[in-house]
Amino acid sequence: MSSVLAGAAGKILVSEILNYAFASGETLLERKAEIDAARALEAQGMTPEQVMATLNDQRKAAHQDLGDALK
Amino acid sequence: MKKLFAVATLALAVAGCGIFGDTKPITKDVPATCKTIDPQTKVVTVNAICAAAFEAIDQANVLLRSVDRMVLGKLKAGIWTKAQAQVYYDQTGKLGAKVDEAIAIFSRGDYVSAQAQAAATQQLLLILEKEIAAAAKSAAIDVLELLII
Repeated sequence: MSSVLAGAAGKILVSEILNYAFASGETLLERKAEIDAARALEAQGMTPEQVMATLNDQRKAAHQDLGDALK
Repeated sequence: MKKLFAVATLALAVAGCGIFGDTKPITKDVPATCKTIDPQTKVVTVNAICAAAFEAIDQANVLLRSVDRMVLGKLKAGIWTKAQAQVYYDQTGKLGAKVDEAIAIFSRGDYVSAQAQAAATQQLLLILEKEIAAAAKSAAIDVLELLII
């Protein structure tokens, strides 16, 4: 009986961990990768103005890619 | 198998906590338009509102790209249909127009309005990002739970 309860509790716990990980971890990791890539632009020698222009172009290109995939 | 999933998901969660604490700006330097140099003393003064507006625009651009790429990933993985992804595509399109507007306002030198516009767009993007994560999560968890149980 107690092992059944422990098993059920374990499944709930795993489910909750997954809930948290997918709701925040995956999203944040994707964003973190984008921020790191953006910061690397300045490290490559770009001025802040060039970084902004590049990020703007990259944003538009990503939107275009998604649009193309939806056609 | 269960332990592997638990460790992997905990690692993701811990990494997420680290990202929450990351408040460093995208660029260490501030743009030249936000700096004033006193010709006599050569002392550089930074217009804080200008720099904040600039950073908010950068952050909004990064966040928008991240959301579009996330949606594209879910679409390619077959987690979402084209109709589902189209809803988010339309929303990021509208938010992209708001970022363009913020850049135009910034270029005119109205840093207060540019910062407000970019910050408001960022907030809308964060809400959208949470919506997307929640929608993708419910689909992905069903699959993973089947593997664990």
